[in-house]
Amino acid sequence: MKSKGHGVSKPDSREEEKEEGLVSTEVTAPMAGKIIEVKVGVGEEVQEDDEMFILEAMKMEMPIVAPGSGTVKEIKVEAGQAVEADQVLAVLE
Amino acid sequence: MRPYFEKMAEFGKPLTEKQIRASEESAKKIKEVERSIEEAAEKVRNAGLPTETINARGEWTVYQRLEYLVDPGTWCPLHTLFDPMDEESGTTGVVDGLGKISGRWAVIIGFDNKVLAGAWIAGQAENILRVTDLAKRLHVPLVWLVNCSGVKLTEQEKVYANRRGNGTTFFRHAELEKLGVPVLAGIWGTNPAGGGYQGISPTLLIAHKNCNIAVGGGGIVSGMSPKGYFDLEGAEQIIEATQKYKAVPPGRVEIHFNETGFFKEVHETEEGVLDSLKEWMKDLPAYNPRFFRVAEPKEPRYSPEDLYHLIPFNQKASYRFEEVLARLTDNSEHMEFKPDYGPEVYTGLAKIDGFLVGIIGNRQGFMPKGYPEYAPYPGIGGKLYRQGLIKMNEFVTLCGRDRLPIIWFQDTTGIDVGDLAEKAELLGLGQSLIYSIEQTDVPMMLVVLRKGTAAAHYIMGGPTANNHNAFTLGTATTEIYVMHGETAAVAAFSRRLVKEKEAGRPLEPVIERMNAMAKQYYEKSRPAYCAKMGFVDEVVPLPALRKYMVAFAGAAYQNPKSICPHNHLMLPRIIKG
Repeated sequence: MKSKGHGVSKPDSREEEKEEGLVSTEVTAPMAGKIIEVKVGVGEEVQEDDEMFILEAMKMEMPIVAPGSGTVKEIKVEAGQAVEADQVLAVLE
Repeated sequence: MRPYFEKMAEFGKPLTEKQIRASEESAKKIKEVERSIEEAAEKVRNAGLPTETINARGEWTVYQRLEYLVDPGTWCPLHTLFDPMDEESGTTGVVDGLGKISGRWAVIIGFDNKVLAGAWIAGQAENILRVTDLAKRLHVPLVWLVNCSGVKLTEQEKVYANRRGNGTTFFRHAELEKLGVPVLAGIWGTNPAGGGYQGISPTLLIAHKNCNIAVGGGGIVSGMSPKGYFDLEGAEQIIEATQKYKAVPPGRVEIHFNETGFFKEVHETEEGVLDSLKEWMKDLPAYNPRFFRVAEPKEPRYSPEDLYHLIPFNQKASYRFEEVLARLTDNSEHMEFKPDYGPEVYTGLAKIDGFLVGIIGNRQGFMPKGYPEYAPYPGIGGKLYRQGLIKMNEFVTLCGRDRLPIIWFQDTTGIDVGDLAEKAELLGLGQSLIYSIEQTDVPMMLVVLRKGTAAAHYIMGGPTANNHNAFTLGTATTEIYVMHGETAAVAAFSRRLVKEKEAGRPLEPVIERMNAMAKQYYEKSRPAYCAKMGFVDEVVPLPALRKYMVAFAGAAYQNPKSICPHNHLMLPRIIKG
């Protein structure tokens, strides 16, 4: 999913179709850095652009936002963890 | 062209409860800084003699005069904390700002007659120069409240001579008049020498019955000593002469109204002088705002108080620039220019009090994958890259063509660096922006929302690098420096660290110096320091930003030097396609 230039880039996300017709979306890190805050929990409903993580990179603390609305199915990182670019941080359903 | 402007695209979203809760701590810190700025401003306002002492003489203070003169609710003070030469009074001895008089915008300045009877003091010349430049840039009347006792004699070397010394004011008035900008003056008190020229150089002089303006004062008339030194005999002669001349200072009303006619009018009371200034203002050129408005004025759809929850006190944290802008523009509407190009920079059109302006600002946060296109590393907001620089050059040039005033918002860590950035021509593009701005000849204002850093601070409408910056505002989160203190410390001491390490010497002394440098950079980039030194012209509370933008837009459109008819504007058409 690419930004239309509205300020905060949405991270790349990957989608998989499931049998029930639900779509899982992986929320990934746009660049390498350190997760300094996890702002959502499993089971939480999120809307597009809701902040899910804060990533520290290049001396800035930048929010990683939900690419669309859904429910947080899985969180794969914790605060303080270093991540690579494109690493999966969470899965939305 | 009405369909372009009546209803533009709405932007912005209401704050959620979650956002408000998450930003409470940050909002508190911002308000703490704003409180300390206000305390410093109050100290400046109380400098010199108490108000009661001035009133006991039958006179008003400059603040009382301003309160009477300026239309209620329109006063936008500037240079309140400006004190670049550490004057012992803590002020520059003048009070100035933008305000309306009789419904018309004016740049207004008065001598603080509580401080050494309005003397020329250190730092004042630079303050006055900024004010005359403001009137020149906005092409609106300059109104003086003259009450000037002349040079502070114990520090004449700090004020009198020099290319930009206090006397500069007189030719700046002549320059304004050459450009068709009138200078009105209300005159009170004793104004000898420098004060005399302060009084005579404006276009129109309205006098209080007790005032005088003169080439020299009573003290100078009696002060010359033929012996070349002072002794008791000489002191007695001076006392006799002073007693005589003190009673009859030169240049009184009976000379300059009855004989020379320099004073256009004389009034018995403080109110009389000020009421006369209000009347004369009605005669000065000013378009009815409806001539230039593209739509009816509207307040933003979101409260400016939201800004406390949108702009993080933590300089590392990011935010959405559009949300900030939605709290500042009419009905939170805009037309964005090239949203898909140069994403690190916002450029667009908005209405401020019904007037069309260009807006430019830094975005924050992640940039789209693959941007900047010339480098393998990811782009982040706050930095400037090739596309953003090209876009700003284009937008500024088109604003010039369309005669649109520009409002800049800075929160930048600088232009991208390195060989790849050099190959991408960023050095040339940065200077090109300075060139583009200079060609536009439209008024601009700048808000340093947070960081103003390196050359980016210059090229994004900063006061250093163009003739068109009318004024620059800071906020509680402003910090201005050539680079971050830690970066500077590394740049200054990295080789020393290597040397000490290789020599087997302890690193702690170097580390101490690095920390001291970083601390110094921090202290000398705080908002209050920026205001004191004049890096910004005023630090304002976040909700007051809109008021200054309204003043700027209103003044810029009051009597512009050149006009682009609405039907001939190109930017809205280019944006629409």
